Formats: sequence, structure tokens, C-alpha cells
Amino acid sequence: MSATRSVGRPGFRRGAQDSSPWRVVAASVCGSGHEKAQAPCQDAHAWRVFREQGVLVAAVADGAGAAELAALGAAAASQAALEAVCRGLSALLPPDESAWEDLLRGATTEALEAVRREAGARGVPQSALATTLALLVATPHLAAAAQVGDGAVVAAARDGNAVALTTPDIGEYLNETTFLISPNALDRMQFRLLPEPVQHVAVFTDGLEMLALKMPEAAPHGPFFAPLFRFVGQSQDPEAARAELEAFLRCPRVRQRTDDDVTLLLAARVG
Amino acid sequence: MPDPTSLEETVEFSENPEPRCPCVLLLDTSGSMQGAPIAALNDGLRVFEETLARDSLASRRVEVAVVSFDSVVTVVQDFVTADRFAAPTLMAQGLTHMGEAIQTALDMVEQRKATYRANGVAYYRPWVFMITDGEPQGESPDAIETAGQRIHALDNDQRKGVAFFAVGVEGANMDRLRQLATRAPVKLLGLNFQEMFLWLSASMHAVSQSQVKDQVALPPPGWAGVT
Repeated sequence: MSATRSVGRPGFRRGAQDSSPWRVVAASVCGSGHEKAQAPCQDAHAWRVFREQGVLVAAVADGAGAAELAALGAAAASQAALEAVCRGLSALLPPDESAWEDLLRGATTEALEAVRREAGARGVPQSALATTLALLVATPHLAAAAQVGDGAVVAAARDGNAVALTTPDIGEYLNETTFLISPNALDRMQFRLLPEPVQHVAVFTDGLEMLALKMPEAAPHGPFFAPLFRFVGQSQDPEAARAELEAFLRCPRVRQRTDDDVTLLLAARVG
Repeated sequence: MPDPTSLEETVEFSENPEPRCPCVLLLDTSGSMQGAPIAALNDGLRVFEETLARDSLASRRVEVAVVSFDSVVTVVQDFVTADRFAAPTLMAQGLTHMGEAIQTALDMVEQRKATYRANGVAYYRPWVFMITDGEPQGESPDAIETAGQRIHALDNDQRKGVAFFAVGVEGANMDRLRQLATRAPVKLLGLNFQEMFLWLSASMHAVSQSQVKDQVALPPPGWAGVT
């Protein structure tokens, strides 16, 4: 499992979500297809909560290249992007939409550079570390998301109505998408800012697309998200919640529909 | 503490149509295939049917069509999902209208894609898998020339319209096949159609389960010789 969890800044109490403004539950699990092929899980996720500001930052990546290296690409991209966003937020929150877009584009660029560095250090072509990247920042006032490739970021305001901030970028064929290392990746980066407080968010990789979204318009399927949002909102013990989410992602009903790696990061604002 | 089974029981899935992976088998049934070759090909088709049927995801996602060509081009089986595919028993006779057959297969692929799009069905790059023991015969040189140009226009890294594979059985004009297709043709070892169809179903399995960015690693062909 290459998933990475970042729990809070120094001073944040590990293992308890009571004092955090966000409850977060995330899991990356290996697809049955990859398990059969003895390949590691090639998805990665990372997140951090800024308690005082009530800000959540999340990154999810789906590695695509050759087996072991794809996991590295996904981990490098999600970590680098998370760090870049957090650095950018350390002073002031971006004042307007275009500043938010700049922040997320800059973080995506840093993720790409991290992937290139990693490939260079190992002497392998960049394509061996091909990965997608989805980024989300949610503040008490807004949510901003950026994405290269497939997967999606979904958010719901207090009314519970789920909207897709980003949608899967797929080509004519289902098994084609854009990666960070694609020549036009930054031009194809999706960005959307929702100028209202969100209560729940979900970030996930393409393994869940067909279950969570109504395709091809990529509209969030309400009955998919409602129980998951309720679950994360009521979660108490982070480890137990993660185990339950993992069990769900491995359950036969899910596995009959996809044998890809799947990552699902869920967050609920407290209060 | 939430009930451990609650997510599995309460989360409902979006009902999207199963993505489809179309595959046209384009089979030479000209006179020279009579006897052992056509019998081996028919046995191979049954292996293909059985192998796909055992594969639950592939059997819902792979769509198979069969086109035979001799002096006439026949759509023996229009696209059906693999779970409904019944291997035909082919007979061999006549000449080799390969150019016309290729056009038919490529037309079918285009129409199928249009149907998928019209119905909001996601799909994978279509495969055309041609098997021949000879060379174009009984049609104008233009027919094969035009067919070859169409393959080259569709099967390349920019357009990615189709993946066209040519397999030559003993006696096939491999040089003609090399000119015809973008991909290097493969020569079948003896009449090892069974191995070839096992490889094809394994490849269809790999393609039909590939999510967006997996590189589709196909098992190495144990049925092919160096050409």
C-alpha cells in the first residue's frame, strides 16, 4: 500500500478527530486485477487539516506506468502537490478565484517536477511514473479543485446536493487519459471554485467512476454519496473508520464492478 | 460505532452501461483453407467462445463479430457480447476477397462506435483480427490498395481508430500482409489456432479490464513464429 496519510500539523493530536474541524477517512486498496498480477497498489493519497483556519487540503493520484514505479509516481505527485498547496496557504488564503487557480496550478506543476526528479534519479523514462492528480482545498467559505486526468472531486453543501468540481478527463476510449507527464497536461488541467461553504467532499480515482458517477455526463450519483458522507460525518475512531472504508472498497459488490485499484477520500466538516 | 456492514448495504451504485470492447474476427474461408486448416480454425473458435464465457467481466464487456471472406464477404455474426457468442462452423471455398472484407470490418467498427456514443456507452479501442492463408484474389488491385490505406489511416498513434492485427497461416503471403497493416503480421505456427485464440481471449481480458491508464500487457504469443 503506497497510500500516505498526513494527519495534521505539529500539535494536532494523532488518532483523534474530535478537535479537528474536518473528519477525514481515506483508503487506497489494490484492485483484484493488480492483485492477480502481483502488482502493488498504484494509487496514493495525502491530506492535511489546518485546524485554526478550518482548511482541508487533499491530493489523490492514480499511477499508470510500469508496475512498481507507477506507485512511486503517484506517491511523489500527491506528496509534492500537498506540500506545495500547504506552503502556499501558510501566509494568507488566496484573495480571489484566479489566485486560487494559480495556487493549484503551481502545486500541479510542482507535482510534475517531483515526478520528473524521481524518474531522473532512477534513470527511467518519465512515462514509467505516469500518474493522474486530483487536488482539493476546502475552507470555511469555499472549495477549490484541480485535476489532471481521470477520477473526480465531488462536494456537497449543507443541502446535501453533491456536485462534481472536476470530472474524469477521458479520451475517446475508456482506457485513455491525460497524465501529469503528458505534453499538454497543464493546459488540460481542470479547475473549479465553488464560492460557498461545503459540508462534505469526496476525492476518488477512476476505479470508482462507474459506480459513483452517471456517465458520460459525470453527474454525481446522490445515493452513492449520501451514505458515505453520513458515515464520515459520524466517524469517531479514525482507524476503525478507515478499516470500514477499506472493507467497503474490497466488498464483492464493488469488486464485481471494477478490478482496478480504488482510492476514496471522504471528509466532513464538523459542526 | 457504525454497523460494520452498513456501507456495503447502504451505498447505491450508479447504473452505467457496461463499457464495451469490440473485436472483429476477419476470417479467410477461401478454397485453400479446406480440410485441416478450416477444421483447426473452427476448433479454435470454440476455444475462444469457451474461454471468454468463463471470464465474467470480459464476457459482459467484450463484443465479438465474425466476418468470413472467400468469393463473398459474409457477416457471419454481428457484434454480440461474449456471453452470447456461439462459435460458428465455417466452410471453405472460393477466392479471397480480402480488400472488401477489410472494408466491411472497418465499417462495422465505425458503426458500432457510433452506436456506443449514441447510447452513452464507454468503450475501448476496437480490434480487428484477420486470419488468412493466402493473399487477395479475385478482386481488383484497387480493392486491397484502398483497404490498406484505410488501415494505415486508422491504426496509428495519432488516430487510434482501431487496432488491426494480421495473422498468416502457412501459405500466406507475409510480404503482402506487411504492406497491408501498420502492425507487423504474425505467422501462425502450424495450425495452432487453439493457442492463438487462447492468447486472443487473454488479450481481450486484459483490454476489457484495463482502467484508464493501465498499460495493457498482453501475454507473449506462444503460437507465433518469427516472420
